[in-house]
Amino acid sequence: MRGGRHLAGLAILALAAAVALEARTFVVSFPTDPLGPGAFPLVAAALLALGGGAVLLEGSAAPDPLPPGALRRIVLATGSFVAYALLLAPLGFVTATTLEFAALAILFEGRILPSLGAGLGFALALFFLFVYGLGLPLPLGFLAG
Amino acid sequence: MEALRLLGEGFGVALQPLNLALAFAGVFTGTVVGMLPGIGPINAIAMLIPLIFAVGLPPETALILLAGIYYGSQYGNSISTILLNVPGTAAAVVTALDGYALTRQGRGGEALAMSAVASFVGGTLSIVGLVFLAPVLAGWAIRFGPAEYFALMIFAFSALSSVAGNSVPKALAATGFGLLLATVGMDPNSAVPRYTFGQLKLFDGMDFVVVTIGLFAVSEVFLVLQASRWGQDASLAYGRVTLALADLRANVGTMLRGSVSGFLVGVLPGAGGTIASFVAYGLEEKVAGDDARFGEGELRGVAAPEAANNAATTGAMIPLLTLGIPGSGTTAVLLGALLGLGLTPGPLLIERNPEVFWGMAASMYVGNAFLLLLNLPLVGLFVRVLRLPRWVLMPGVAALSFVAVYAVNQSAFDLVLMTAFGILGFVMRRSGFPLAPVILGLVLGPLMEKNLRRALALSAGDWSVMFSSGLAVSLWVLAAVSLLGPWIWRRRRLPDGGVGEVD
Amino acid sequence: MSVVRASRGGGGRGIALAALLLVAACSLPESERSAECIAPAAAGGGWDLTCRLTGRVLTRLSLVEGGMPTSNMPGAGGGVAYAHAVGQREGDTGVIFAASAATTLRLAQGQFGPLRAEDVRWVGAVGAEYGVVAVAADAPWQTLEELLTDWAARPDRIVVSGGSAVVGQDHMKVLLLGREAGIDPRTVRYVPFDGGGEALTSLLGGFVQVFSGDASEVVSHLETGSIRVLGVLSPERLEGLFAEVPTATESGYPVEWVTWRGFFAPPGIGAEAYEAWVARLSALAESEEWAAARDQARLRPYVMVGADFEAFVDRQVEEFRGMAREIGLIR
Repeated sequence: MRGGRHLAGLAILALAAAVALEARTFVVSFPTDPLGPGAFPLVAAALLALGGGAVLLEGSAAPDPLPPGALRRIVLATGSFVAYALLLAPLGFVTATTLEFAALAILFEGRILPSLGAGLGFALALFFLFVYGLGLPLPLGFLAG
Repeated sequence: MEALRLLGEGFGVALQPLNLALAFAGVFTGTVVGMLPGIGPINAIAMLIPLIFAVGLPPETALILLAGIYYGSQYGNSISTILLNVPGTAAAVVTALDGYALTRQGRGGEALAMSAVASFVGGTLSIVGLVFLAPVLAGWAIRFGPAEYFALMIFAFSALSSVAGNSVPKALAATGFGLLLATVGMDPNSAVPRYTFGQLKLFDGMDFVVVTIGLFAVSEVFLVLQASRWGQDASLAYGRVTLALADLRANVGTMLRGSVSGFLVGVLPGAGGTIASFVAYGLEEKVAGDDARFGEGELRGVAAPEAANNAATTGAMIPLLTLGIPGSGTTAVLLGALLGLGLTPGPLLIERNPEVFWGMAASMYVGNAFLLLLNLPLVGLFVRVLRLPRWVLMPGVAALSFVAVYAVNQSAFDLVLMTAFGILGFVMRRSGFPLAPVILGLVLGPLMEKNLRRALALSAGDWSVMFSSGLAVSLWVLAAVSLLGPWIWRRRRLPDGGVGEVD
Repeated sequence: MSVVRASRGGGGRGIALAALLLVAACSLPESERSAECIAPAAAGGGWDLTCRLTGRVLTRLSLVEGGMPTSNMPGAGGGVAYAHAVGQREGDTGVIFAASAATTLRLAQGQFGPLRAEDVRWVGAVGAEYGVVAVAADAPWQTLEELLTDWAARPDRIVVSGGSAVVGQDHMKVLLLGREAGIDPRTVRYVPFDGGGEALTSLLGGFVQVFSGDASEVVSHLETGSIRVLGVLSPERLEGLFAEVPTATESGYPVEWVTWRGFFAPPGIGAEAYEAWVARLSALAESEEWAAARDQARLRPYVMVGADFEAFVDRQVEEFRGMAREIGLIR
């Protein structure tokens, strides 16, 4: 990873440039203040550019390589998070949370049955606390049918 | 003194059995609700209000209950922050820095106990301020205009040097990123959407809870997941669950300073607990000098923000009760409750409904004592959470994060956004970028921008308005001393200049 | 290892207990399809309170079965919830959404993207607030006419504060008044604050000269005499503390601003379900329970339901759209 030293700095500079370019497109149809909507994003872009430039110059030490298997676990966990977000409404809170909890627990080397059991217990506890304790509705999913 | 006599009568109100019971119920509910990241007292209070209207509680009793929830939740929030690195409010982000570092060193119990004591000190001391200084401070809050707020924000930014980590460029970039996040959404001054990519969900801006929980809690899950073998290692073991007397004594000054600064900032509408804890933390770091290791597990780094944000909670009651001006989302809900109870918060409230004002002040003493009594013995119970095997604890943190983010807005989009911030936080932490400046930028950014633009709109573009009052000038001086002082000071002490050692 | 083994046995018991609880949860009456009220903002705001109070009174009067819990769906000043109603709740007879004049204003200004007022079913309004214009007690203007005359002469000298964003309700109120007084809307200096409370503080602190807001926001300061209310934007004078304050129309500037609070239902719910909601709101509006709850929320009586309300919303959106065009906000 020879480029790794400069990756962070370059990414930040690119972001700064994108922010500054976008800030120029803000059109005010009804001006009410002297600064306008673009000024502050430019300050943010300037800070990003300053920091990014300095990071590029000093060459950020590349982070330690990921241990074997770590990338796979992180990708799997991320996938499960996104799946959870999408399945929450159709499956309902309790089912989706139990499955998500168990999936993560298994990634953390938990055993399947205890993972499912702990997940269900936790999901139900949260469900009752939120729905009955706090009055915040959570999706029931197919259980409502 | 007149105030003392009235306060005595207030205790008469507060110690009635029903009020006592509801004060306890309030702080207990508050603690539980506060432990859930992102939910906060607003939801609990908003849900109770129609109930209170319907049951017809006397106003002072209702207010005792609701205020108990309000300040109890500040306390509960520090528990999940310190033990699990899941800060639910901006104020708690500051506590997370040293609190979670302490937990990782096996000192989570001490940090919790410190937080309980500091909250108690901040809570009770600030009530003294509420009782004796309310009318004076209300007048002070009114004179605080946009220029003064802007100078205060710059002062609050001086906390940056304390949370910057060990690379100035990285901290700068992180701050810029936080400010960028702060600009996302519909700009209220021009009705122009900024960086929303046409997503309606982003028009209200980046939800603070989504960003914080993603950056802190979700990235933590990834970090732990990254390690190849865990076994049952003792990295989250905990030591004693009480506070050594020496530690307590060493923190007395810290708690006092945190209480005073927190209270004063809390009085300002719109500033509130967040800025209070940043200011207190930054201040404390400056006072402590070089021997303290802020950000790496310093008890003072817990005591200062915790004392400050509880004091700010009390301070926020001043503009609410004496001016009828809510200083935060929660006090806005409280204002609605007061109106519904037939009270008119404003200059005449104390005169017309003394039992409400003094009863509530007295009940806050009682409630804070309850909180301390409730929570010190429970510290041992709370830290036991860390004993859970990792395959239960980490999914538990994840599930808690999900439900907190989802329940408030009912939005799957927020969950995906949170995951994205989790990955970003993971990458940032691996590459040595500090997270706290992002939050500092995100929280202070909108306040800075709004007040700067307001000030210039009021002056029709004349920048001299920024220095037009004594109050503003003194804040600028304070900010300059705070931002540049340590730098100059350190340079003097290092004869060879120490270039690049400014951290 | 002992931890894992111990929890394995615990896991089995846990499953049994959890399964039991799950069965219990499913048999609860709440899980049947009850009504729902969606507040298009976070907990604690006006829409949220509208939902919660209405839900409570409808339940108390047994007008909805199994209660009507409130969900919050903040975003884009109500735009997220509006899009949700149109896109994902079509034909859902069990849900209503809180709305107010802010909703129609944003619709008219095109802030909900392509969505239009005709995309949902407007059920009714159940309460209202009225706009006010106030100045500090030591201000030189005693009447609305004095203020507006002075203003028209030197618009650069007067700054207005309000609790809503640029081109939001509080801004519109002064633009409308200004139009009647011959002030070019582009010269009106309006500074938005976070809510009426902060806007009012800026008036008390002497940072602005005029405050634009709602009647309930100024009650306590009117009472102590720290501000002077120059006009209310209601069709008739308000009672109580405001009895002495003339309406803008009386002062020669025919401007009204009704911040009504009401509800819409998703599209495609059919005539029967629509009429059922209309009937519920009518019964609600006539009840004593609602009168009490409405007073607690500091709302004034204002009832309009069904076809009348639909026509009213259409008219209001058209009017707001004309205004937006006039000030160059939309083409």
